[in-house]
Amino acid sequence: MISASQITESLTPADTAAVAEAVRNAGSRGMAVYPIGGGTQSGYGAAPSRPGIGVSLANLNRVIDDPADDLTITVEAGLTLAALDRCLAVRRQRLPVDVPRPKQATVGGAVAVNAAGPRRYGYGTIRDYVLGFTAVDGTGTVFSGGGSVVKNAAGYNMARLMSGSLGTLGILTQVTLMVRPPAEAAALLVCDLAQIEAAEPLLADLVRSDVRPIAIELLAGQLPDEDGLFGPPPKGDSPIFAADTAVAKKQIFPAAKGTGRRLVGTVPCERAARLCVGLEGSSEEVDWMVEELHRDWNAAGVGVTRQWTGPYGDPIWQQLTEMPGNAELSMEIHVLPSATVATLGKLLPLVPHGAIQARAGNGVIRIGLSCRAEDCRCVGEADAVGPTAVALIRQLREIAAAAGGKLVVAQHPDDTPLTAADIWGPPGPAVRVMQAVKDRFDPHNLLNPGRFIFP
Amino acid sequence: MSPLVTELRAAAGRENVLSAPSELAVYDCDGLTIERQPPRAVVLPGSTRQVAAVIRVCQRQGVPVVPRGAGTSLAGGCVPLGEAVVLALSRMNKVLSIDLRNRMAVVEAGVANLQLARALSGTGFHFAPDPSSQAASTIGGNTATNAGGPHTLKYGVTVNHVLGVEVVLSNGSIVQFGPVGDPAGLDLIGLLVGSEGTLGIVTKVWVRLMPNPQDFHTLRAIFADVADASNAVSQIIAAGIIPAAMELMDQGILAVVEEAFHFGFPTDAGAILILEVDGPRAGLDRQQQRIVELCRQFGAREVLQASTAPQRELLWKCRKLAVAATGRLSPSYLIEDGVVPRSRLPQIIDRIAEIGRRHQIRIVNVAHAGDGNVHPILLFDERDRQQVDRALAAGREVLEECIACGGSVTAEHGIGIEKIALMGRLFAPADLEAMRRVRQAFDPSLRLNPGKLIPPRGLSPLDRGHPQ
Repeated sequence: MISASQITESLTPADTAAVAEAVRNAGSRGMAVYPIGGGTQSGYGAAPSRPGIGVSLANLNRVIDDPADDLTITVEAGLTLAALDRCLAVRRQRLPVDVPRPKQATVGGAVAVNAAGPRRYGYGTIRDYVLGFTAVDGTGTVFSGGGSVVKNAAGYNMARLMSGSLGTLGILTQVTLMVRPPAEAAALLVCDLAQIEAAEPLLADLVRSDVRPIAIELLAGQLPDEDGLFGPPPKGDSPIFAADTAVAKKQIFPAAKGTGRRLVGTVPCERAARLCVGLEGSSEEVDWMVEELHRDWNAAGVGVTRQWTGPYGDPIWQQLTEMPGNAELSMEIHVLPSATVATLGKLLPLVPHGAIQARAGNGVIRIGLSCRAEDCRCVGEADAVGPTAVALIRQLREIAAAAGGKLVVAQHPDDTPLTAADIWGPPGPAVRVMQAVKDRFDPHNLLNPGRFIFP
Repeated sequence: MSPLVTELRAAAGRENVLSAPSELAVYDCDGLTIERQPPRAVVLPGSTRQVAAVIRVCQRQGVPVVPRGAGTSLAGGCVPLGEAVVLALSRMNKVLSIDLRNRMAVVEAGVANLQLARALSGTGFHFAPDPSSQAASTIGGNTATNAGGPHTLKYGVTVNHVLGVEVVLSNGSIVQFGPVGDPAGLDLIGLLVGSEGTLGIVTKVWVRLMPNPQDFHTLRAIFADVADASNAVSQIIAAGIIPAAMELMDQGILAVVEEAFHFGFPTDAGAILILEVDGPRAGLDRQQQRIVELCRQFGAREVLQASTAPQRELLWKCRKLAVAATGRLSPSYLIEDGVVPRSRLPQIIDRIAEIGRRHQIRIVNVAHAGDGNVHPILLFDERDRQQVDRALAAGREVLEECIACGGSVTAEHGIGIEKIALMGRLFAPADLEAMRRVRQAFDPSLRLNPGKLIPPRGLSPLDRGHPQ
């Protein structure tokens, strides 16, 4: 969490050399430096440990090298994801990583937080696409890593080290990305489940199926759905009817009604869930996989309740990427994929008003809470009910740890101060090695002090 | 007996420490046979604990440690410089678990790539990196060099398939990263993969398993010359098609392969491409058709599908054993590992031929062409000093040319000692300094595989990789 009050002055350098100069100047004055991209992740991480200078990358927004035939592109770190997408679309290419708020979010910021969205299952995180970079370290020295070829074993994989380091080792100024051809066709199939536990056999089947999803999202709790794309959340107390075509772009199987119109049953809605499986590929592949998944789910007695097909960039993906968009307190749990459903089963009773989104194929569970809800109180109001945010985080972290996993806090409200330990959890293995790396790239702890795992 | 050997025996068991000169000679080089140096001792630990104990002994005694898998690396990465102790992980060769629900296998570092493939046969899953050395090379070694192979074009290199590692750090501590992702920290897994044993000794690896494709088609396309073939590869990529594999073999290597395996390649073919498409059966025919059309459009005189499984296997055998078969052509060879942006493939292929002519060194080519990754094989006679010098000079020039094209001096074999002097050509001093900082953070006394990967400050690109 970084707020305006901690930025004593802001600079908007025009190039890498100017970023380096800004860092050197700040260093000579003993000031901290906070790199700023699109500001979409300013709520990620702990509060800065001291006031400092904001260095905006907004003016580093050029495309540097655009060798379309190589399926790579080199851009400055302040270019927005939307601008990158436009540039790639012209040459029929894409970066297949979902990033929230792409009109604001920048390439450098997305790399710094190692962004990934619903299609992580099929395409990985942005780290998998960074071939090379230029950055400014904590001494104001410019350095580069990697290169512009798709395979490179020369020296350490510095691009991996920088990805996800939250700007604590260097300020990224330029990034070379591997890109991909777009998928010809895409589809999203949804089935509603009265009991979340019913998801595990379906997920286990998917692992062995010839259907190769690129996204497996398991939604539960109070789902924010402002555009109405997903319809009302599954409720156990009212029958759910399938194949609501009101918002469907195109029905591949209009005749699938009979299979879709199933009574889910009457069970407490708190345990209900919605499984969304995303597919991409050539049109023949997607058609076949859709058909196959219909067969598999019918055989399992669940049926497809909703289905969309559309091209890359369909709002469905973006909505799944933005979830839980309006949450004030959001957390991310990482467990083994096989532990996803059991972990959800344990945490659901603790957050009955939360929006739960699991990247079930990856074992990533995102929990979004509104602080007006009754699951926890983010501010110390006397009349608030439920545990404090810190207490809830601890409870959920224990659930994650019991499954061999981890919990980090992704967003928290301004008025709920959380320590770095609350946010990142207990130090992982080899924290000393990580600290030793940090000390060598930023010996005076100028870069994003306090926000990441480093004190 | 030296105090070192006594302590090593105490750490790993008497029978697991080799110190007789005849035994040590086996460990004096890897696949880069022109660089040799015997180790001071060889230890074959049977457990991670023993690895840690050996590291602590070496730290106490101030002796460097060089990890070794199967010794198939091609850049001198496991040559024990500085009278090092070789830590050979070949006894740690158990597949510990196969967890299909999580698409993951846990293996000890000394498990051979093919051994894992066999353990997975019948499960419907596989480990995607498939270097040509896979019959011998180990998962630990694949991890250390970030190994690739033909199918990395579509599926990525080793770093994309390592979910976790158990590693012994330079102070002898044992830590585990992964297999569950952890956003609260730096990506040390990504850093360890490809670090050539300089940051820690990987003892256990959690590898990602990929579901086998429902079906695949394997094609061979015949071209009049290597320029046409490499151009076709660039055009296929530029058209936005990423096949599962796209491999090039030129006429020189085809003749050897034909002699060795009798596949039935036409003897007048200038070059062939082995192309593979995979995925759901439903999409394969059209994908194949587009590739065939592009091959024809850019000069293929014939494109044929391997119609039976044995035929496909033979085709892949020809490709994977091609390098080894060059022994028929020449007493010695040097295989390079250059990589260029994909659109520059025709240019580098052309330059390689010119460099060979100028240095009077015969060069034959195999390439993971879809990635822009060329493997020119320089043929020479090790007994003729002049030829050796000409071959080394030609090899260097090929790699310099890769750099000039915007590429790199290694795509999948690593830097080792062979290419260490070229690091200064590829990277600016500040870039190398950043790597040195990483190394110091992991290994302040620089005991792990010293003299590899990162050049000492001030090493000229014209110097030999290391003092003889």
